[in-house]
Formats: sequence, structure tokens, C-alpha cells
Amino acid sequence: MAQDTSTPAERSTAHVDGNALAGALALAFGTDMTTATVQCGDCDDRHRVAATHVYLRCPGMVMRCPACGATEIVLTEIRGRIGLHVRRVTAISFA
Amino acid sequence: MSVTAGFGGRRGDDDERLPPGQYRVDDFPVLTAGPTPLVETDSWALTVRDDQVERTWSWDEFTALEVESVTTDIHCVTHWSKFDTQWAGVSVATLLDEAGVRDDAPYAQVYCYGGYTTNLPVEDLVDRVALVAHTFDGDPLEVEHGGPARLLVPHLYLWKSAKWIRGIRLVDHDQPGFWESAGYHNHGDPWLEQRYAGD
Amino acid sequence: MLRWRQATVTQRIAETDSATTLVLDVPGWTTHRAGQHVDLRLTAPDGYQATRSYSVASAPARPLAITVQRVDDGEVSPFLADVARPGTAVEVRGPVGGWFVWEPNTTDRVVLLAGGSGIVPLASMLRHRRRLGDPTPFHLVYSARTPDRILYRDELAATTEGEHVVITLTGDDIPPDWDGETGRVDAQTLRRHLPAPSGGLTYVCGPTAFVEAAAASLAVLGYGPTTIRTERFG
Repeated sequence: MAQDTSTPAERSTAHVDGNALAGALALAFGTDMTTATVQCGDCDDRHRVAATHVYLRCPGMVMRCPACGATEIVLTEIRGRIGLHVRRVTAISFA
Repeated sequence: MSVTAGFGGRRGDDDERLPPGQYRVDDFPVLTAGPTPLVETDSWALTVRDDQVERTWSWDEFTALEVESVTTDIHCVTHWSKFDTQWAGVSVATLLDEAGVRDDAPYAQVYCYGGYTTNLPVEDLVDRVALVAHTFDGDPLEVEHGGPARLLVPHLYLWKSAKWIRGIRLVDHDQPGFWESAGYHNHGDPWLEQRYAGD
Repeated sequence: MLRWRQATVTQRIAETDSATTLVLDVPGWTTHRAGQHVDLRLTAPDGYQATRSYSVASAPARPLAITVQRVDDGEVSPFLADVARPGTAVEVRGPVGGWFVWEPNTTDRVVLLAGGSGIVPLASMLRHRRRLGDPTPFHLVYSARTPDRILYRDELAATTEGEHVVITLTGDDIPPDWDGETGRVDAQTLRRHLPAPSGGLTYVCGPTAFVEAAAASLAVLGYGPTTIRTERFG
């Protein structure tokens, strides 16, 4: 396992993980995305969507890089419509 | 959409102090879109600037400014409202004055420790109650609620009251912030129920 | 096509004082894979909607069942755990999630680590194994606060060949007649109950703090990060 260089704040337990976005992302992409690999646009870390840190206790759903905390994707579900806002992502490879 | 019999959500309160679609809570829910940034007051700083001038306060300088106290209701876009919250801090109008920024800039960008941003018209910061708050209920603002200091703009949905504020920049052109660029309303007046873009 | 579907509660089963299993009938439903979850949506008369995710508890090809742990200040779980009954209409979307799933005959052995209601998707895997008579060795370590919070207790205890089930209690008041493990899941507990880390897949599900601690303990034992699949529910 990679060395943990996170700060105490980054180890907070306020997040869940990318599995929680499976439904909304499947709607947005038309396929399961939890097995897809994302490359962070800030630190270049590559990780499964399932391994990302996801914040749900906020107005929308925020998917962050598990290595550096950068916002990768913001998802909203407003009146039944999925909104996909890609922020700091360089690449997504589908499994 | 089909109604689930027996499910009332948490609403149904007719209190006239509640904006449409809101329910009342007595606790103080903690919402966050990311990890909580831990900023010690000895490395904390607040910057106010426009395209000409820039003024930065250390924690000691900031807390030496005139303190304003308000008791107000607050309203979160996730439907909860909390009544009679007590805050103290420095009014944004005071900060803009002290910084000497131009008084004709129409928009403000608010940026924060942890990377969060929000945007609002300057008039919402200077014509209404708006603080950079460092005290809640008589105690130093706890980090999960935005401490050391957060913006407080109680007449707008609470996502505008950015936690862990680091600076305010006055600009000529509006630029949507973190939620405003993700489908949330650009202004966010709870009494007009401006939750989402297009409301 | 993934979309919201009308679902009707057909059965409710009281699992513990605070947890209820709801069996749902969903016309047109595609069966799930063990470990997947569904999104569930409730709509109030004024149009207000609340959406939550729930792991599927039942085995694939069995009627869709979810187990709901009541969160007292929650908005959805008290309704599902206490109010919903046969005939109640809800909406579901899914099944979703392709990462936290187990398929028979894909791995030498399976390790399951559950914290609290994190047992639910892992129970689906175990039920799947039993239903198919799959021989893959399963090792389950399940952490619960108190005996009255243990879900599916009798069912889990009825092990079949190749299954190793350990329940550890983490609460302060351990009943005197408890003869199982006690204490949080740490490297020592896992070393006592898990096989050496060779081959196989490990599934960890529970609150975020549990998952982080369990994954760190697995690393101490030498379990490779690529063999561990985690699901955090906050």
C-alpha cells in the first residue's frame, strides 16, 4: 500500500466512496462506471472510480481524488435529471 | 414520479419564518463538499482585493477589527432552516472599506481554504447583513462549521456563506462558483426558492 | 436502460430492534449480482423527494430484498424501517455497481470483513454461495456493537463446508454469555481468523472509519491492495 502522506483532515470520515455514485454515473454514462479508471487532473494519480472519495452531505455529490483531494466530478440530480460536471480529470478509461 | 404513501419527508411546518420548501431543525447539520481544512490561526490570513489594491489581515489583525453581532435565521438549500443563530464577526462592508477597494465593482468572488468558491453581487455583501464570522453562540467558530472564519450572508442559501474563507475578490464580470457552476442558482434567495439554475 | 421503476413492498422482516428487511416486487427487474446496490426514492405528497442507496441483501435470482438500519434522526430509514409495509409503493433504480461484486468460480477464496450494516452486501455473497453450493472458501469477520445489533445471526451461524464465520463485539457491555470475539477488527484479530494472504479477493464494507482501519490491518498482514475491494457507507 502506498505511503500515507495525507493530512489528518484528509483522513476524515465525512466521505463514502465511488460505489455510492454507481446509479447516477450509470445514468450519465450508460454503463457501470465504478470499475472505470480515472486520472486526476491535479496529481495524475490513477484510481478506480470505486476508490474515489465521495461527499454526499452537501447540495450535490462530489467525487474527489483519493490521493490529493482534488474535485474530479460534481454530480447533481435535479428534478430527476443528472448533471455531470467534470472538473479535474485528465482521462477516464473504461474497464 | 409517484407519491409514497405515508412518507412526509420532514416538512409540513407552516411557520411563516420558514421559506418555501424548508423544514426547521434544532441541531446544526454539518455539510461539506470535501475534507475539512485545518487552518491554525497563526497561519491564517484573509485577503480582500480588486484589480488595483490588495489587503491582507493576519488573525490578530482581523480579530482586532470592530466586531458586529447578529442573531438570524439560516437556510440551507438541502431544505433545513435553523432559527435564531447567534454570530459575531467583522462586517464585509468594514473589510471592503479598510481594504480601500473600489466601490463600483459589481461582483464578488469568495474563495476558501480547501478550494471552495462562491460568487455573489457586491450589493448582497454591503446592503444587507454580511459578516466574516469568527464566533458562533459566543464561542470560537468550530472547524466543521467553517472555523477559524466563514462568510455569513444569511439572506441567501447557506452555500453562499462559504466556510473557511480565505479571500474576497471584487470583479467586473460574474463568475459562477463551485455549486453555481454545477446547476445551482446563481443568486440563491430562499424566499424566492432559487435553488437551481432557472428557478 | 436504467430508470426509476415502481416497486411494491411484499414482505417486511424484523431483523433486530432497529433493522428491518423489506422484500420488494419490481415488475421488469433484472436480477442483481451479489454485492450490488439499488437506489431507492421516496416522494412526499408535495413533491419532495429523497433518494438513498441500499445494498441488496438477497442472493441473485431471489426476490429483491434490502435491509434497512434505522438512523434515528434520518429522513428515509425511519420510514422504511418502521412505516413501510406490504403494499407500500416506492421507486427503485438499479441494480448498480460492478466493482463491489462477487461471482462464483472467479477466485480461490473470499475474505469478507463487515462493520455494522456493512454485512448486508456480504450476506448476499454468502447466500449466493450457499444457494449454488459453490465450494469457494469464505472467511467472514463481522464486527457489531452489541448482540442485538447482529443481523442474520442464526443464518450466519449455520455455516456450511468451507465457511468460517467470526463475529466480534465492539461495544462496552459484552454480555457474560458471549463466547465469541470481542474488540475492534485490527491486525491481531485478523491474523487469528484469516488465511495467509495468497490468492483470492477480500471485500470490506462498513462505515468509512471501519473500512479505513480494516484495510490498514489487511495491509499489515500482507494482503495486497489490488486484492481488496472496499465499500464505504459513511
